[in-house]
Amino acid sequence: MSADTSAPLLDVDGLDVFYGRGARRKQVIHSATFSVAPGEVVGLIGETGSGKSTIARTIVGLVPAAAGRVSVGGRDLTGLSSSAWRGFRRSGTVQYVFQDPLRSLDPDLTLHDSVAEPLLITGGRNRTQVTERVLAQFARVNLDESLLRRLPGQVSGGQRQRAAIARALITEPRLLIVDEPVSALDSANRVQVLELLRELAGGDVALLFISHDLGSVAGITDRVIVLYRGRVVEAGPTSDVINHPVHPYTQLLVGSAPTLTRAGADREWRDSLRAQLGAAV
Amino acid sequence: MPETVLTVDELTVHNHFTDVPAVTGVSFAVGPGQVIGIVGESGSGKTITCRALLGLLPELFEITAGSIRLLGRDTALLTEKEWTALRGSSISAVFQDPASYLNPSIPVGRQLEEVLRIKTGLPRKAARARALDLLTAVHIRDAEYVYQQFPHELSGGMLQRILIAIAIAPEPAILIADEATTALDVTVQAEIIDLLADLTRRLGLALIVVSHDLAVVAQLCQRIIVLRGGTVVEQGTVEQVLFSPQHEYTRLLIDEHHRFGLDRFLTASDRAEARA
Repeated sequence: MSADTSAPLLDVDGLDVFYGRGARRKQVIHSATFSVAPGEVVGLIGETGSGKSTIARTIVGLVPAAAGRVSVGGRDLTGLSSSAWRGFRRSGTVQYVFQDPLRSLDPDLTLHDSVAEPLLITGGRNRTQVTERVLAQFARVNLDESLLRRLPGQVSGGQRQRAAIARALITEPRLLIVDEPVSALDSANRVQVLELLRELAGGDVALLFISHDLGSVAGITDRVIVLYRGRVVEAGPTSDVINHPVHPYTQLLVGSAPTLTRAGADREWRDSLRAQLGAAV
Repeated sequence: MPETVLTVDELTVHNHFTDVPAVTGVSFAVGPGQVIGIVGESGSGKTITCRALLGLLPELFEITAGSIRLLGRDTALLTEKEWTALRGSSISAVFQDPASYLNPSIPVGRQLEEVLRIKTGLPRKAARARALDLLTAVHIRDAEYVYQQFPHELSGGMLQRILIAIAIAPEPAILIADEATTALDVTVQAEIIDLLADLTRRLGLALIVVSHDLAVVAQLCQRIIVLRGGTVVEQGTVEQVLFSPQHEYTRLLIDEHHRFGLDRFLTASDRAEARA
């Protein structure tokens, strides 16, 4: 893993995000600051409503930032005009993989056409070149070529998620945002997709892995960022955060993750942390 | 030696629609205060097993061999009326999506009260008092306030607590928790797991925990059954299944936690502590 922290690939600095307007305007992200180095795998962890998907959506320009800065590869994205945004999206520098590929892939497109689509949008290639690239992506995610003509509904959940990843990879992104990509999969598929993501990262592709469960992504992340009620409450190398969590919420998160080795332990610890967090509200 | 609440012997359920067995030869027993876990992926037969235990098999599914004894009674001999009396009062269940089991237009407390009045025959006032007690028992802080709230006003964790309160209201001997924590945040999942552990200890409730996640089951159970394709691939104490798994599939489930979960960061001393 390249740890070139001097030049982060993704730099989020003092990000504020609001939802709603007028009297109903509510701040959901409070000066979030973090970065992702090229090739790094970073987990963005938080409970439902903590703002993790909002941050991801702000990075790709789907949600406007009220204050602060988001830059990718040194380019400030927060001030882009809508046409500049379109150009940036078409470049495919940042790609987003959603939790449920059954809903994110077009049900009427074959896997080949779904994976090819981002290239067709970018333009400038003929049919043969596009198909060549699609085949290369299929190989990269360990999908058999026999599935090229299948529809998303005709393959397994794991195969579908790998097709969604192939679609994201075809533009050679530098940052891949994956939002709970294995939550909907069963064990065997989960292991395969996690392994694939681990292999992909490093070199040219960095990974921002969004999850509510530290326990399920600990093994593939270099660093984790913990988000609680719209604020970054902790960030650091994965093993440090797990072994020495500082914020009560991070401690609760670690103490709540079901593990095989500490089964049933930590009960009283959890109760006291809940009391602390409850008192803080 | 505690008496047995539920004994399942060589249970086989046939799916007449696909004409293949859905569950083959499942056997286990649970006593008061004991917890057994059933682990398996989608389609492994864990939910069909639970529905057989509740006498609620879907159409075209049929128990073709084996027996289920609930509090000493062979459930194959029960009439529909006897089943209705038994379900809820002796055996109860909570499932994955709590919101879909509640009426969206009735305050949650009244729904709990209704169960109490029908199942235990309590008069309105006493049922209300008991409902408030139950809400407190499932760790709801402001029971009076939550009582009059509607399902849409409550979080998933709160709704699951309400469903557990409803399930334990008629004081059943056994509760089935089928993926009851799957849709919840990990911190909330831990709260519900802690609550279930409390109930088994305080009320002597027997518990069957069903999950696709071995570690979730391991938090609560003394014994674990690993199901795959409708058959038991492994069965034993938590110690046996977690620390010396015999079947390749069980090893896969464990390996996932070791490779991607927190387990790899836990030190050897944690592990020794856990075993002790």
